[in-house]
Amino acid sequence: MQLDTSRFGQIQYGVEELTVFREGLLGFEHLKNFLLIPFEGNPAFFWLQSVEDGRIAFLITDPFWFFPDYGLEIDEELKGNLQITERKQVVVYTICTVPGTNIKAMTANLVGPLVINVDNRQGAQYILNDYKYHTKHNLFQETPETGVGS
Amino acid sequence: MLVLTRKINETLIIDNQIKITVAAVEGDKVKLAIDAPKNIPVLRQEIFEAVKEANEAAVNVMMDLEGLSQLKDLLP
Repeated sequence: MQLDTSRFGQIQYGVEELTVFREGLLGFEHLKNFLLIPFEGNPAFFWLQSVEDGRIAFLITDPFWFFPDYGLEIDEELKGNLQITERKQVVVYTICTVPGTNIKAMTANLVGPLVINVDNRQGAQYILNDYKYHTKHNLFQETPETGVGS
Repeated sequence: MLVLTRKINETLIIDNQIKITVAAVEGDKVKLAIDAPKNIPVLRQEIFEAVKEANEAAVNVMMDLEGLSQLKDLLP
């Protein structure tokens, strides 16, 4: 398959490479199929490239690199939806935002992580009811930033 | 919209399966105890909205990949 993207130009992919978010992401419910593309030169980051809209790609990271204490409990509903039966099937990513051009001010959304079953490549954005987390945790700065929902 | 008045410890039942009880009222805060089946997500609306906003902000990450390569030096 072939896809024109804003960020990577034309890319080739196989259907078996798709990760499917059946319910989409909040605000992007119409986008279901994504490619997980490693960020070149940095193992902590990936791109989540939409297949339906080549202009849409989310920068995502493994939150445990930056927030070793981060944790979430996956409820039975999500386990059922993603057919999760074992812990080792689960990977978690968080979506990053870069304000303007200041990469050091990059934040990660820890309250709405992406949970993916790597065995069947089904994913979902999972909203945590945890007051500890919000949508703008700084990745590279010590100074805490408050966000909505804290 | 239906508007009902409840006192502390009084409960509403929705669709025979969701129970919402007023657990406490402290100043301008109302503590609600919600008893719902596991397959019904209960979320604070502001979190839902915040995640949506965060997603929308996230797609505007700059296109300049060269700038993003700075990331390599910023790992903790």
